[in-house]
Amino acid sequence: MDTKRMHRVYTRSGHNRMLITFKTVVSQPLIERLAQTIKEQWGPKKLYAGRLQAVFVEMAQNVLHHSAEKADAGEGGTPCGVGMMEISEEEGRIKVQSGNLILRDESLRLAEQVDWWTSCEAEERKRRQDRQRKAPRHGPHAGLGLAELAVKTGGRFYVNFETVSDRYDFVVITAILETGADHE
Amino acid sequence: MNELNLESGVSTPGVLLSADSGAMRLTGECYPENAVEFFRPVFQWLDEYMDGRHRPLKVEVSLSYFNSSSSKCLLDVVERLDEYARQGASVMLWWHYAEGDEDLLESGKELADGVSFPFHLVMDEEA
Repeated sequence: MDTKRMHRVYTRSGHNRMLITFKTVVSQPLIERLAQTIKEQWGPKKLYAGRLQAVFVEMAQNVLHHSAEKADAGEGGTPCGVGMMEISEEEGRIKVQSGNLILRDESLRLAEQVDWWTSCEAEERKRRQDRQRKAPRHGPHAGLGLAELAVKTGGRFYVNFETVSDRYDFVVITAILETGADHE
Repeated sequence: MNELNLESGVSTPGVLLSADSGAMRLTGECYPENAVEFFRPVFQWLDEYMDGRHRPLKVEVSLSYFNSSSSKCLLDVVERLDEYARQGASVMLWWHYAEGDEDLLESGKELADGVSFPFHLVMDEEA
């Protein structure tokens, strides 16, 4: 066992109350099971539970569809994206994070998009989300995940990259939700 | 014309489309792996139902959650209903949301914006 790594995770969990953390092949059935868990745990706070479920599902499905590393989930169907997800609680807020490999070109584009979403006001975010929703599809996915994260978190989300090779970066997306959402 | 009746799953809503009763109903949660694929039979049914005749259609949407990809499909549904209503068909829609769920209420208001048919926002109180 990698004792140092486990101790690092343990220490970090102690400070931040780690609720969910894993690295695996992110399949749709896995997302469903975890989304159900989230709903059961936070169900009484409807607005907040809804936002947490929405943020988690968007981020997990982003890994499923867009991770540069794919593998068979052992549940049939097409290969799914490999990545990690974490949900932690600290000081009255929930932090949802995803991490996965991404092509370098995509990471540059992602960084630009997130910069835009986090720098504009709430009304402008809603207007742009509305425009994107009405735009023609380019492929099987709507490309609305970032807009959803931006609106549900009130612009409190960001991305960081770690270079892993000439072609790939490791991207971490972090979304912050205030647990007081039901009292706003 | 065949009825379309899909049982709900964890991430897919129950769907009932009945030509006999002129009713469309979506219930549950909606975040399938591929929303376009999931909604394909719904659009096919609507196209057939709306083809040529102006039969009335009552639509009930009671989704407790839908992902961003599904939101685009729901917008596509509402746009088709709106076009159908503008052609002279009687269309009515009831959009259900749980008490306190402002996000679902907001989504309903956004979809209702500018449509030509009655779009009712219905708050379901806590049991």
